Amino acid sequence: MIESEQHKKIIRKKIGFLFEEKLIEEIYKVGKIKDISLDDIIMRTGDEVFYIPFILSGALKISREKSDGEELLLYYIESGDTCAMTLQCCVRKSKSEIKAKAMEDSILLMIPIKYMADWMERFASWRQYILESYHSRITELMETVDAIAFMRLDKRLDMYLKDQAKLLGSLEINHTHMQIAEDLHSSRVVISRLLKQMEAKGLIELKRNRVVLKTY
Amino acid sequence: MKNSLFNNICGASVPGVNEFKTSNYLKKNQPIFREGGIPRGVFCINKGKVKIFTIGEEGKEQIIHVAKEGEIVGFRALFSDEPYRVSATTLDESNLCFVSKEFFFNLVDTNKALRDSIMKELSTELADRAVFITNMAQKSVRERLAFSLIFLDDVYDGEMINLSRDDLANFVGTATETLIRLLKEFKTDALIKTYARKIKLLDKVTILKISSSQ
Repeated sequence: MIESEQHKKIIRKKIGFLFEEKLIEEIYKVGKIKDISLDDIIMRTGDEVFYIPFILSGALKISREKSDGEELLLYYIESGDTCAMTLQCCVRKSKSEIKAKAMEDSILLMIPIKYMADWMERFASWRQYILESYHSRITELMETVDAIAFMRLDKRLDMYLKDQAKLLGSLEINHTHMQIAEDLHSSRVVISRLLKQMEAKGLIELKRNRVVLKTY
Repeated sequence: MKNSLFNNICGASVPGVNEFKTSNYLKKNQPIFREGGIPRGVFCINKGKVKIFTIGEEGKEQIIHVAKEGEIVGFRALFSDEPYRVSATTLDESNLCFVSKEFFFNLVDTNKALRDSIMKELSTELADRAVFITNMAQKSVRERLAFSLIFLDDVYDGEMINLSRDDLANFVGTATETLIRLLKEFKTDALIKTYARKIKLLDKVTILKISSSQ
């Protein structure tokens, strides 16, 4: 139940324009607000899924975990988005296949999964939103397929840095080379070498645990 | 099968479908739609197999799915006003039925079972793509070949896998030469048997083990 006027205001601002009035009333009735901090993990592989998260502010990183602790970036979700990988677990009644981690301090709106099917039937705007969420995530995954299958790592790195800058709203990217290597599924050595090449070309500047984009 | 997307779109029980669907016989290696084309409807596979693939800058293909009888292809593109993101081509003689966009959306609005099956289909596609990416990025070529063989064995359901070496290499995501060398290794290890281009799995348990060894 959402009672705070401030929270209601954020919901209306971030996702209100997507949905019909009746649905927003329902969201107030059954939703829950969750504040999370940078690096908080809100879901892990194998977890039971009880809620579908909507991002009201901030950003989450959605990745797949391997048994040895390595992970593969699937996509990022930002304010106004929901997590399609969580939706699909709910549709297929399976456990979570992903890990969701906060990229910055974020506010989430949590909707219990039992309302999903009912809302699909009752609200056209909800249906539209869910179908679009699936569509855009699958499209993003297809782009990743292309990137892995066809694109060279230097191009992928360049695209990754620009995506990060856009996502974080800053030209300074506070990632270690190791973190970047993990996201691109490469090794730290290779990434460091490519970053040095980019620095030599004047595209970026390397600082301790930071990459600064010179051009955008 | 009763509640599959296929049956909800072009099954005999769908009212009015016979007036709206058209049946097409296609020979093998015929394009059904191409990346960049505008979607005008969906295709239901009555008979045959279809490869779904993307094309890289140098014309290299990456096959992402092999669809079989009872599957629908090209349906996700309908939900956006965007061109096809992938291409589809028949792998053998096929019979497809085409259902127009208008009729399809009319069905979506009136049929709850169809809406449920669309959600299921999208969920499966999303999960499959995520697995696909993980495999491409994290598994060795040998592991991917094992994974592909298990997947294709299911698609060919009781028959032998019948793909050209180029297509199989493009599905696994490797060069044809590498694929041929690995197939030879699998043969030597008595995991598979080949009859010209057809492949029969002899030791599914071990192949499955290789496919998921991480």
